Amino acid sequence: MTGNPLQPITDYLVDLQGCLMFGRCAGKTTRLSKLHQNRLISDDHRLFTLDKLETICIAIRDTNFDPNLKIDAELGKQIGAILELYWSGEEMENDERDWHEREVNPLWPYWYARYFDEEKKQFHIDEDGDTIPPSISADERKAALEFCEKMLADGLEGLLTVENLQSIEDGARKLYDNIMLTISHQDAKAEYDLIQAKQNTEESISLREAIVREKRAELEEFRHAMQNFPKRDLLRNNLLNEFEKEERFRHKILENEIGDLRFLRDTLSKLDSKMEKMLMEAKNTNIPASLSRFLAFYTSNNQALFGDIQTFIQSIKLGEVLLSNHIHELRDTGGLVSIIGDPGFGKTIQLRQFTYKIIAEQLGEDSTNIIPIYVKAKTLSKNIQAIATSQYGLLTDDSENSKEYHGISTSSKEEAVEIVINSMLQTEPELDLHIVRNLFGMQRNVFDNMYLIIDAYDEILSEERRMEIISFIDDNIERHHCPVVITCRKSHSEELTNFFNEVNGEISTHNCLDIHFTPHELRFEMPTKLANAWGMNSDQLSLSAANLYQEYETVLTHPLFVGFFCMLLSHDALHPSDSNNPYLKQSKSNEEDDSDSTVSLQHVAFLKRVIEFGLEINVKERQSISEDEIARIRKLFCYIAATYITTGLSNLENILKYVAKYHDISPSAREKQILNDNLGVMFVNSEKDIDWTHKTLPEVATGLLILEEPEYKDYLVSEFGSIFGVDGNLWSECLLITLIQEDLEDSTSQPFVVLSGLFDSMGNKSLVRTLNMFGGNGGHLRDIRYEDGSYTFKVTNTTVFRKTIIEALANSYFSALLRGNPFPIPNSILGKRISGAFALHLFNRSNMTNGLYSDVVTEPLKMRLPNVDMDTIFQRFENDIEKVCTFYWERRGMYPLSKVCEGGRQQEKSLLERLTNEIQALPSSFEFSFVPSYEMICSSFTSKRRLELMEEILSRCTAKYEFSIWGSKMDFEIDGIDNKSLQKLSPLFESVRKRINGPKENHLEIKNMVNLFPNISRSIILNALVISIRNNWKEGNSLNVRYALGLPETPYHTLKEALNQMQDDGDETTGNFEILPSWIPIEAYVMGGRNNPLRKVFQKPQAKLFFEK
Amino acid sequence: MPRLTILDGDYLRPVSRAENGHLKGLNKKFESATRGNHHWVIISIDQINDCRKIEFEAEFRYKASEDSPNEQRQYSRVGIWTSVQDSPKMVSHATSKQMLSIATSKNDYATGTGDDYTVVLDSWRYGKKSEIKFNIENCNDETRINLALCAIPYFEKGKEKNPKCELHLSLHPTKEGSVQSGIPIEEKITFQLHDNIRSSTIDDELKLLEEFGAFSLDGNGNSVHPKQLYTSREVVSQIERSENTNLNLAYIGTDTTENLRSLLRTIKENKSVAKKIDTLYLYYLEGWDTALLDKFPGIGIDESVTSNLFNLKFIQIPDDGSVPVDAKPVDFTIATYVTPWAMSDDKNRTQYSGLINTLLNKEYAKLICVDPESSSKIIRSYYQGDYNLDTMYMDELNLKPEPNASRLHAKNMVVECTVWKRKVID
Repeated sequence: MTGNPLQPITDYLVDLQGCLMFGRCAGKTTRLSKLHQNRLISDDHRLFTLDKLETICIAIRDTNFDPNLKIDAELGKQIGAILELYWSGEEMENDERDWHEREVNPLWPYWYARYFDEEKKQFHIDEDGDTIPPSISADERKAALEFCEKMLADGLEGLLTVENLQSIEDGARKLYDNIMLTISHQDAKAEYDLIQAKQNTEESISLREAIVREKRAELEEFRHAMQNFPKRDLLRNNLLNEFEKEERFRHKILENEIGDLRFLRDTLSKLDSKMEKMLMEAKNTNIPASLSRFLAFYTSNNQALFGDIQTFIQSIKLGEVLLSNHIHELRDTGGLVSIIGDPGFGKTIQLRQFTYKIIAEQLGEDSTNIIPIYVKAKTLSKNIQAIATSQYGLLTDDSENSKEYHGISTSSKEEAVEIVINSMLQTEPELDLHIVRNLFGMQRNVFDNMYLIIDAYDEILSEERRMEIISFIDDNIERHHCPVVITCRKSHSEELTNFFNEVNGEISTHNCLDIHFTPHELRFEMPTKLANAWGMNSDQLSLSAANLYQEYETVLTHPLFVGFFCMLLSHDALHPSDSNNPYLKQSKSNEEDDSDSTVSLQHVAFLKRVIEFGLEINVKERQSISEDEIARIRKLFCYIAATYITTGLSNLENILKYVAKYHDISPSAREKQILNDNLGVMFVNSEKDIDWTHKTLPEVATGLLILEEPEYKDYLVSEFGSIFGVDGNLWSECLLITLIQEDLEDSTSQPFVVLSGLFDSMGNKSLVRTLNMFGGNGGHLRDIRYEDGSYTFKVTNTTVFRKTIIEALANSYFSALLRGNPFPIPNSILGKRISGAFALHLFNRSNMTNGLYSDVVTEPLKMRLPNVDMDTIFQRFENDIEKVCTFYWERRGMYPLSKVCEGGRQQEKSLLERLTNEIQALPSSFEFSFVPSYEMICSSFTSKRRLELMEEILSRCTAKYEFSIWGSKMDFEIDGIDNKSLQKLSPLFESVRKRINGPKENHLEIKNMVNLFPNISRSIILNALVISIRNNWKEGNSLNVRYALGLPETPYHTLKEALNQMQDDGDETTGNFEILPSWIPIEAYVMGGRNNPLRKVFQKPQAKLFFEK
Repeated sequence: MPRLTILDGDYLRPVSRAENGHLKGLNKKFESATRGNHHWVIISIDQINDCRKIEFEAEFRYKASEDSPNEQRQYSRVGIWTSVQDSPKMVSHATSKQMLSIATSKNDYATGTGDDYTVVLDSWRYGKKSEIKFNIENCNDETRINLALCAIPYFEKGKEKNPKCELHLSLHPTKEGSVQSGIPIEEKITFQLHDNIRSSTIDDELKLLEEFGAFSLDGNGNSVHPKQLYTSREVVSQIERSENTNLNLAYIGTDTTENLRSLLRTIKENKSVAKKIDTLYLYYLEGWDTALLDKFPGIGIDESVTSNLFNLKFIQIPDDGSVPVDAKPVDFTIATYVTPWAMSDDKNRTQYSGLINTLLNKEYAKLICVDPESSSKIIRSYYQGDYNLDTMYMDELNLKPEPNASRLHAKNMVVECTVWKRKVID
């Protein structure tokens, strides 16, 4: 008995469809066809369609130029309304709406790209004879997209309705009929005849296709009947030959019908060419161009304008592309379609759904015309390496960055077949080997009917191997006109495009489609469909997901996490949502303006669950693995995340080296492989760089590590000074909430237990941020007492939460203080003014190491000396005058008019006198290592005693002269300043007085000032001569003083430059060497003075520049 | 102009609270929507003699969105029951319509009342919106289409003591010679939640099904639910494709009896298929058709109903949860809507799993499963958890799926038909 020659294809389609029917989503068996089908969008498709709309409208409008034809007024109005939008904006103001204006039309590149000059079989040529490339640059795309958005906003959106476009479509049909009726010319008649012939042929094809289907069905039926005929009857009656004869006869009839069909299709193709040619000729001769453009368009578009109107509208509004339509368009020529999406967007599922759908359509129509081949890119690459034998080298075109690629390609069909078969079987291990072998054993060439479907381009490890795959794809497109679909992460999409253009030379089509979904779909559609795909009742899950979505929306950003979300919901494993718990509401840091910082307890709890379940699910899906191994993978994952956060490293190899060195944990080869594979929470790309499925995942994982591994917490404190890094730069709401999730979830029991244990290792800034997170204002401690070895306190009236956290902090703080290992807290927590017994207590308890009070409050400079006698104070400072001076002047400099001593003026007077006397009593060789800042010096202008003390200090402080500019010290003799200069310098002293709001009675004439306080005066003047970030030129007249002295605004690079620029005729900012007093050091107008070490640095590039000129 | 008439009462229907299936709101603490008991609405469509096509829709027009995320009446659902002859009928069209006939013949089923019109099976839908399409052939003034709608309304919990939920009915007629449908005929049924309302009894439902001809065991009977037609179609397709004869079949009869009856009718009508069958083993639960036999004594199924075309053997599924000792591998196992029984407790689950494992332990043995396409397609019964056994088949029994032989791939159908086979035979 003769078998159906195409049966191997059907068997293969059935087998592959079975493999693709189910997949796993969030660890559950999932029927993929029931999952939400994400849309695919393309900016280029959108803009091509927008350009097409203009072409349609112009074609219709131009028919009006024909004197014998008048288009319907309504149609004209509708077309006009759309066309007007293409000329809106500045063009509209210009009355000359001619073709020249189209040069500024941003859709112009799309026009060129679409309308390849078929007649000449070449790209278009511009006025200068240069080829206009069909490719569209990123800038051109951007401009066109802006144009599109503007058009939609200006009114196109309202015009793109099904009703409006249907009305235009109907109008166009009538127009076409009118044109056909009015055409009287012989050629036009002939053209009409051709159109009629085409229509007739199309009808015949349609009929013939139906007959072929019928004959095929009959043959199938006959074969079934033969198969079912009792074997013994068959032999007894000698019917076998009869049956086989009949089968051959029926087969022959079918073949003949197929032959006829082929002939009709050829005829149609010839008619098409003939008509195109004729229309082209008609343009120039008989049919007026105004009509021929419309006729050409209308007839070539199957006598329709828009096709499916809803699809057309969506194409312009969103750029939506129907993949199956798109890929079928490539059936004759071949081409590449890449599906682009970030991790978690569902690229693989999209591809499997697409393949499944193609097969379903084929089987539903009993068709074997398309043979989808589904392979993983990584597997295909591995098999090319193992089987292909032909070496090649490729040099990329770019002359500046040319690069060589070496790879292997197939040298025979047999090699290609083996590569594809092995890849198919390794990608889908459930595929039946015999069925696949039978498929390729058929006479029909599988490659000629193949749709090559490749998943995860970016998972191929090396650039050369990726180039090799592209070369393989290009081979199949060029040799077999094969349509190819490939998925790729966004990170590699540009490379894919470049490689394909490089290999293919921009001959074949390549379309990039982006995966697109909306928040509405994530919230309302995906959960329902997912539940159904899992085979479970969707009602409650769908309702719960819709209700809870908003609480989790910061983290439910893609289908992967919606899947986890639903899985957790279905197991009731999601964070219990207690509406009374205030921390469940979204919190937002007061300090941060960045909306990305918005997180909530749910957000963190969800990501914790994702790490907990998601990681395990993904690993277990791939291989059997013990609980211990899972725990180790999880730990490694957390270390990777924490290292990523703390070091900024993003390369997995580097991170693992770091982790091995500093945390003594290294993955085994198997663990390393698992980490490299898709963990569901972390993706490692071919360059070994890590992508996270949510940007806050590494923060949550770091938090888990801090909680679970005390050594890691210690490491952070010893390495960075706090668990939140140097200066709290690792602090984030997400990390903090992860750490204190337990506290926040159960606010009814002992509050902030975990947080209390973290306060001492947070660091100043993180502590402030943490407190701000729970409401920065209101409430502080009062009635703090130290009695019998313990502290008691009360909290002033404030909100319950603020009060709770202040109490938690206070308990932790006082306990640390008792241990003698205090940590600083905001001064405001200790009350508006820390005074009295508790202030003295802190004065005695605080450590001196980084300055008194720096270990007990975050703003130690706001702390005063307690009101005790001078001996006690000096003893606390171990009678170190420098330390006392530092304490005093740091506070005075910061707050010139505030109290430094709790005891007020009287106490300060005693302090100043004692310090002045003690300094005077020091040996003449004593030099202060403490250098008063400009602010401190200025603050001394507040009283004569302070001026005297400061003058004493400065007289013993040589370091004050060391204003080092570009490695050169600046200095001058105060006695050498002439009177004229002194007058010019006078505003400086005036501005110091104003700056500190000092008393007028302290104002001294500059001459007296220089005489009485030469060191203070020198410092003030020097400060004006120095370029410093701390100098605010505009304030304090410093800049005016510089100009008055003939100094430039900023010093020059070289002396030569200074002399050239500091001319009489220059403006005041350039300086004036003529009036510059000689006492002014050269460093004030030449960087680094006479010995500028950077002179050469500045000279070199100038020489190069000159050479280049 | 076609006419839509509600035969069995008012436009306002009091409905009582169902036993289960109520929805819980945020945190799952409180009930946020009440599931009403299923409620039958009997309608008739007549005056259709100038129509060539009639499309009927019943829809709960509620939809949750960003503006109304708590709209829970959207979970209401409705199904349409009508009588349809079990075997697909090839409608004899004029030559000019031949292509259309070939294209749609697989889907066209003659209705139980005669040859005046046909039901297009793949356009028969259940859910929030239920639809059915009839192609009209030679109708006269007397022609009448009877439909029974079974609705499950959901009522939102709120201040109202007796909340309401509306079901919109619409009829879209297409006249002879016209491409588009004409002005729709619309009606609205309002369900209102009330205490102490008596629901329809199993007796009432059996009477309704009997009127539709659902219990016949010969060629005159009718299917009333698409699952019956899909099951029969797939079983016939599979047997036709099989190269073997003397096939043994197993039918797991845990669902309502009308499904088995329609399958028996179809096989008996299809003599070439029936000839290939040696024995049909009926795995039944004790008391599975008691209610039916109480009401209609004398229509019980016994060995004689197969008219000697093939053997019919009965195997009771034991109460103790064990696999029946007589169970042995067969060529085709048919399991339609078995999930509620198989998943009701661990005992049933283990028993069912063991039974399938035994029945499929044979080369080329296949399991034909028909289950609801989604939970919104389940009307008369309520499934708390899973409504199919895909996970059991894939993960526990290590079965491999394959597409159904009847090539049903349309979206949003009432049922899903999947064929499974064992990857490894013991």
